[in-house]
Amino acid sequence: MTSPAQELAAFVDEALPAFAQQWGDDRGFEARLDWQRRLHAGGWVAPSWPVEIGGRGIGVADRVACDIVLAERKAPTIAGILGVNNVGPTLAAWGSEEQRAHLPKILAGEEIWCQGFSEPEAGSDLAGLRMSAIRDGDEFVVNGQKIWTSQGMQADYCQLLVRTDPSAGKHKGISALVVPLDLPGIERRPLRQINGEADFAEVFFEDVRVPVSNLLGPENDGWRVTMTTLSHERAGVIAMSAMLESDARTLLADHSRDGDRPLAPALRDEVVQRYIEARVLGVMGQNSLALAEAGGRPGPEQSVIKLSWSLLSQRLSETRLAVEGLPAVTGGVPSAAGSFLGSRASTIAGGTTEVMKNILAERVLGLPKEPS
Amino acid sequence: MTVVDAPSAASAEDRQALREAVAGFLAEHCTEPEVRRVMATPDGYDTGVWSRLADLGLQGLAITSEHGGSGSTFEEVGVVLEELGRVLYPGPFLATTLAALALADGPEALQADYLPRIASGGLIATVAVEQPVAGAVPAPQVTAADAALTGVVPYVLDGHIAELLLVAAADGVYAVEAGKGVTTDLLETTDQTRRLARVTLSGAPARRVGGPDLTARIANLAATGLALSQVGGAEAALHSSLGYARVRTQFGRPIGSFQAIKHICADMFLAIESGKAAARRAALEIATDGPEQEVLASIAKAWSSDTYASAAAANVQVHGGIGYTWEHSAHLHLRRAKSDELLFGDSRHHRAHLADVLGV
Repeated sequence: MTSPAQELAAFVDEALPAFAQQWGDDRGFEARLDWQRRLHAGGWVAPSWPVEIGGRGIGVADRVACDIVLAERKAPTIAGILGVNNVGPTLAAWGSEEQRAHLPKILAGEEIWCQGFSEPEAGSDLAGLRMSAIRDGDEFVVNGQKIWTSQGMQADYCQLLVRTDPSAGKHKGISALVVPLDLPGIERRPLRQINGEADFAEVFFEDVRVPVSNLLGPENDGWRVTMTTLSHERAGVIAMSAMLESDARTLLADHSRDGDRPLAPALRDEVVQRYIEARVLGVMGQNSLALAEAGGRPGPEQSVIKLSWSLLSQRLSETRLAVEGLPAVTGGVPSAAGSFLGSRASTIAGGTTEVMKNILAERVLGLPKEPS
Repeated sequence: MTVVDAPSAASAEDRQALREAVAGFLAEHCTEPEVRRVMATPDGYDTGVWSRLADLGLQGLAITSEHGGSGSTFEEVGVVLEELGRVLYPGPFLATTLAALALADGPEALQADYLPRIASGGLIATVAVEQPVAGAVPAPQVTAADAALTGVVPYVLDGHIAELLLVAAADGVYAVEAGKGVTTDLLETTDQTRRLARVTLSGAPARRVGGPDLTARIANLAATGLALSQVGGAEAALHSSLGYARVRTQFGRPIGSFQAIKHICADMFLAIESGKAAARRAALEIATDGPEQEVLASIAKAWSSDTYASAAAANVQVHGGIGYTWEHSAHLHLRRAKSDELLFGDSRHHRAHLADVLGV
């Protein structure tokens, strides 16, 4: 019997050369959209989704194995990644029948979704968000600004977090809305990032009227709705660890003592330390996977893995620059500088390292909160 | 009472039960005042506790049932080492267990002579191997001729009380009994809870146990075993810091509410959880005789050495002035951590070793 990962591998080995023939090295939005459609034709966009909404219902271990198959073959990221990984599971868990009707389109790449979470004044302190949604009959009138909205420029829809009850406690007055981004009063501007790419947008809302029926989950319960997404990150975190381990092994293999590009003795200690860190992270990922397979709930090991991953991915890209030397910053090693710059995001996106350490110290280690 | 009598692969639940039994025993018999009392004695261990550990079946964990042990795996040994490391147990458990494991690879006659006595707690043993100095492990300074060993082993764990020494000579490992031709000099160790002695052999009668591959195996067992002990110690240091940070008040609030203290503790936790995973994984590899014992042992020892040393130092820092006093336990961990770091190779040594093994 073939495993889902083996089946996927066979599919990708056929689909990827055809894709490459058409798009070459282009990994722009259109190319990634085309890749998503090719994957969709084989039913491989979201194998971990339940069968009834178009997935294959595979478990965590198979999901991780599939992610690794895609990463090892350097398959492009699908265009609608946020919709598939984050919004879809949330719509499936909380959405009305009408809202769940988006799911097949999300899979097919017919709809691109973004998540309107961060605001200029609400980054690490996401629950401090201010975007207001004031009820006016059957509609909310939405005003405010979102920022760092990944795929905000290409998206058709947004899972938007708004404050519907300014008098309630910080986490209590937030609601989630499904918002088509072509509504009057919405303006988008691209944000160019440190690595030159523009994956983010600023999205401005001025008196945007959103029907009340677009509420996702109960009114004022948007924080809980949003947390649904986060629990789906487990497999992703484990897969990222496995991929980082594979990157570290590659670094070692590329610079073996008997090969063409042996390391200077001065670099060995650092490179081996990266290898050690990656192996240890890999072991933690495997442990977490075993726990998931045994039906255990995600525990503190998830935060440990995520924090370790984010710090290690930065160190590994720094070590790569040190190993490659000037060629890395003069176009000689195409991905080295880009991945170094890109890795600065790993300790910021999805919760800064500093805030995650605070949360760990308070919730896992039982240290007292800061007095407010 | 014998806690361990299952002859084969224990489950995670069994190991948890073993952990609780050992921790329960140590909470009663290896308290900090007791550790302080014992570390001030000439031999540095308590014979009563030693025989009670044997009553619990701990010295026999790694020994097969035909030789009086319980035939458990290195994973169960690891559980005990973690718990002993946690309470700074002063005594020859690590040394004796390493010797028993090495003997298990030797001739049957030697096993029959020594293993039952080790399992019963009636024989203290150790491994006398070269230790890294100045970044390198010297070649053994002991040579074998006519069934006798001559030479010096400068740093031998619990060498002053060991009645049986497994000595790494130039051509392999030999069993030597304390007595004729064996002189031991106890060293003045910074960590009084982990004693080292210089062993001088002058024509000491010796029986061959194994070749140079056994010397290499002892290195893996020692690195992994000590890593497990270090992880336990590091966790104890973290819990000490956490306990203090919750109750110590400055500027009108518990110091643990300051982000600066939280981040120190979170960093300790990250390193310790990682170290635990690494050390236990290495133990599993040994238990299952897997192909990566050497690599995983070095990873575990490198990680745990750095982690315990930094956790013990951070523990002093979190405690502030009180952590700098003789009366507080923080320095006991700091001493143990720094000496454990250097014993059986520090992280630099193991990274260099890994570079050789991995060919980078």
